[in-house]
Parts: sequence; C-alpha cells; structure tokens
Amino acid sequence: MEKEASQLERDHVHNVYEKIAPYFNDIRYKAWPKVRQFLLDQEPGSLIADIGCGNGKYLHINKKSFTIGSDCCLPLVDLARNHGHEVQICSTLKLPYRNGCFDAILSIAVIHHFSTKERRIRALKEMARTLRVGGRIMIYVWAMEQKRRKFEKQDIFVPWNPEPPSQKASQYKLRKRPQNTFAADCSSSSDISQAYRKTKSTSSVGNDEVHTLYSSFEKSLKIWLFSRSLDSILELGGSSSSATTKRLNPFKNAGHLLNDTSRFELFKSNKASQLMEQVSNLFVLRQDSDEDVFSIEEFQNHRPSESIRSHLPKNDLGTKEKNKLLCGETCAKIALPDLVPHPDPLIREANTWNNPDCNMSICPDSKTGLLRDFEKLLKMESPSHEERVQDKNTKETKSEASLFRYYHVFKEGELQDLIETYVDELHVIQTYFDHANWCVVAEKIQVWKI
Amino acid sequence: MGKGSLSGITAYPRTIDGSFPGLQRCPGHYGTWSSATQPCWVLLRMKLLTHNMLTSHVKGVTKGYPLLIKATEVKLTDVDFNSEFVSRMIPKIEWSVLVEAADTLGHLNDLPRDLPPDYESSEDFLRKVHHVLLEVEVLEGNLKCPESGREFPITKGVPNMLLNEDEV
Repeated sequence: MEKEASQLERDHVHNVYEKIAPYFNDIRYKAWPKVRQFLLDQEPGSLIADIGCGNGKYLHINKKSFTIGSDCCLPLVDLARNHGHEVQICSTLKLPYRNGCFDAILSIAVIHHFSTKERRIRALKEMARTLRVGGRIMIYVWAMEQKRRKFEKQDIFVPWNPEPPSQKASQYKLRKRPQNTFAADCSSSSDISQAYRKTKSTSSVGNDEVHTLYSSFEKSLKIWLFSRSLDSILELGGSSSSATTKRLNPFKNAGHLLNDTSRFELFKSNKASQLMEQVSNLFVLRQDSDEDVFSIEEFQNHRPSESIRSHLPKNDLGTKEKNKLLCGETCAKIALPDLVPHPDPLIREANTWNNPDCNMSICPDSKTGLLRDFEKLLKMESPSHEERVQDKNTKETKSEASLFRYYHVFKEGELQDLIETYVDELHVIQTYFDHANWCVVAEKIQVWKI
Repeated sequence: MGKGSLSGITAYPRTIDGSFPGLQRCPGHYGTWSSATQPCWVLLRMKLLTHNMLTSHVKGVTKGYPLLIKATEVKLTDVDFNSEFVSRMIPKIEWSVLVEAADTLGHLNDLPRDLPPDYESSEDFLRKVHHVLLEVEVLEGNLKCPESGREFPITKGVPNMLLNEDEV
C-alpha cells in the first residue's frame, strides 16, 4: 500500500509539478492575507519553515525572520532559489531538520496531495516534530465544500491546463452579470426554455437579456462541466455516449433557443469586440481565481496580440475594449483539457456562424482570425488518448494534452479531527474556511508520556 | 542532474532585507528545466544558519546531527547587521555546532567556543556571530552524515535531501 501510495504521488503530484513548474514563474502570485498575517505575527528573529514552499512566494514576506523553504519538486525549488531564498529539496515525510527548531511552520496546500490517511498523519507528525513547544503551525488544504463547484468524491484528479495560463489567464475576469433565477439549477430543458420564454416575452430581446441568457447558459454549462470533470473523468471519457448525450440535452436545446433569436442580436452591433465579449462569456471555463490554490494577480500591462489588432477598426480602442478582445482571444486559445465529447449544438452553432449566407454584419476580415479560433475552441481539442481514470489505484494512460494532479479534498472538520485524534503534540487553536481551503492553526504542546 | 543522483544540501540565502548580495555565475548550469525561465546567474550558497538546522534522516541513524561540512569553495558576503535579529537567533541555534562549522571552514576567527552569558549587550560579539551565521557561505562541497557516512554532495548548487527508497 505504501509503495502504491508513493507511486501515485510520484506520478500525479511530483511529476506533474515538475512539468508545470515553469508556469509558476510567469505570474506573481499574491499571498493570501491570512497567511501573510500569520507570518507577520511572528516575532522578529523567528525561524520559520515553509514546508512545500513551491516557488517560494511566502519566503520573502517576513523580513525580520529567517524563513527556510523546502519542497520535493526540483524545478520549483530552482525557481525559489533564483529569487534568492533559502531552500532545500526534501520530502515532507522525512524533513531534514532537527527536533523543535522552528518557531512557526507553514504548510499551504501540501497535505492534500498525500494519497493515504496514514501518510497525511505522518506528514503532520513530522512537521510537529520540527516545531518547538509553543510554536504554531498553519495548514491549508483544499476543501471539498466549495462555492462554485461540487466534488462528488474526496479523492480526485484535477486536470492542469497545458496552455500556459500566464499573461492570458491573468486577463481573465468573470464578469459579474445580473443573476437569472434559473441559472443555478439547469437539470431539465424545460427549465431553460421556460426561462427563455420569460425573457422573450418582453418587448424586445435587447442586448441585456441576451447577455443575461448567455450568462445563465454559460454559468450552468460551466458548473455542470466542471463538477463532472473534476470528479469522474471516466464518465466523460467517451465510454458511455448515451449517458453523455442525455446529460447534454438541456444544453442542446438551450443552444438552439439561443441560436435563433440571439444570433441576430449578436451580430447586430457590428463590433468585433462585442462578439468576442459574448464568446468569451459563453466559454469561460477558467477556475475562479478565488478558488485556485494560488490566486493570480492581474497584469496591468499587456500588449494585445497582433492578430487581434489587425482586425480592429482603425480608431483606437480603450483599455476596456482591449481587455475584452484579449479575453476573447485567450478564451479561444485555451484548450479545455478534460472535455472529451463534443457538445453538438455548439459545434453546429459555430458552423452556422461561419456560413456566409448568414445575415452577419461582421466585417469579413474578422471572421478568419476570430472565428477560426472560436471554432477551434468549440471543437474542444480533445486529448489524443482516451483518459481512463476510475480511482486512484487504477493504472492510467496519460494524455498528451493534460496532466492530472491528485488531491484528497478535505471535508469540514476532517483536518481538525485528524490532528486531534492522531497528533497529540498539536493543539488546534483555530479553524476556518479561506479561499476554498480549510485552514487549521495549531500550537505545539508538551506531551508528557507516563 | 537526475533525481536519483545524490545531491547536496545547499541553501540559497537572502539577506534580511531581501536584497541579493551578489550573484555567482554557475559554470555550465544553463536552463536545466526550462531555458525560458532559468537565468544564467544563480545563487549557490549555504549559510551556516541553515546548516545549523539540518540533519540526516537515513534509516537507522540515531545521531544524524550535525552534518559535517566539507566545503571546497567558500564565499564571504555582506549582509546588513540587525542586532535584534542576531540576539534572538542565538538561543535557537546549537552554539557548539556553529562554532565547529565555522572552524571547519576556517572562519572561526576569534569567536568564543562558549557562549558568553551577557551576549545580548555586546554589539561586538553580536557582529561576530552575525558574520559567521549569515555572511560565510558554502558554494561547493558536501554534507556528510556523522553516523552513516552518507554524503550529500553539493552539485551545481542544488540541494537535495531526498532519501532513496532503501534509506527511508
């Protein structure tokens, strides 16, 4: 069991991080406020350890203390090192530090990568060992209960988007739209058509309603797809096409409904930027930055790519316009890694849009660049090999397009129970939910053994 | 540098105020993992403060601390002195280990082997400690487990304390 567990972790944690490490250098990750505060609360001259420091983003925060980072991923340690930090490579299960030498320990988004309960407990005990009596440890783990997605199991594989998120993703902003009542639950097509009729019944389907409908459609599609993809990828793996089709039916009808009326509205405005805004709204499947393990700072300055620029009208665009275009371009370029089947209505949508007979008032030049990208997106470049993941013990074939990281997401109170039951030397002081993580702050206490 | 190879422990220091006290060119160390992100200039040093915390965890070893330093290249650097930092750090370190390590590197100078009782008030003493803790850096060499003899060589400045399967 131990061997399988460590093998799983090697394949789906260590190896993946090794491959994706370069991407962690492109963006400046913002430290979470509560973690930052924990670090700054330490006395000057403290010794702090960041176990699983990754690219070292927490190592520079408290300049009055000495912070040592450690991680088992060589490329990430390299990144941290290149920023001048004190780091070593080691395993959390066997920390190369002597007993009780640290005043504080951070373990952000580390324990949830251990594949068995026993290993998680060992990691906790090892960290407690290196903490001095009276010292504090802060642990963050991914929560099973999250706002925007639903995990159906605790042991999951999460795909990593192979396209570098870097500057493109940082332009991504989920626009806040007025919420439609039906947006949250989209289990049957009748719901959607009902709501659509509701909006249609108003005097004219203006841009607002189109946007609202689009955003609802987008949101429900997003929620559904994401929750499925994170849980059991086998279901979407193409094995049971009938089940998949059935699930996609609501969206299929919605697609038609949207298609008929709103398409005209869509192109009425004759602005490339508006098209891209709607496209991007529809297909935003990027995780909310709130829920990422690392939250991403927006780039302030980014030059729009040349291909988009060439299709623009001659007059200068404001920043807002540029952002929209970038968003659209981004959206078109990002491959959706785990969506294997093609939602038929949407591809049909793309084809009709591409039809020159359509009454489209987009300038023909823009079609080539933008719509090509859009079609590519719709075709949902599926991974070249089938992804078969049943549970963590099954052997999986890796797809070239995506990498999967193993996570054991924690239920509310699970981490606290783990510490209270198995790690006597830690006393839980505080527990809360932050940025889609369960957090525990504990203090090391003297344990007297009789 | 493969994962299975024995790599040493190296710590890449940052000064207390976060500045980089000089970069060292690493011969032949270009773009190991990604040429896009790997600069040619890298930091390759281990401070004695870090060494003071490190221990060997090879299976069966009861006394893996302290690791014996065998340095082939040592560098002196400048770090801003902060007396509060140093005086608070002193109780956290193993004094004898620090002295021994400094001695091995030939930078003991006139640091006393025994910790004077009133060290907090002596700025002169604190400055000496500051120098040894933060300004003496090992660039190349290795760290040896005192009991098992297992060496963790420092290769290209990358530290690696990962134990092999049979050593865990």
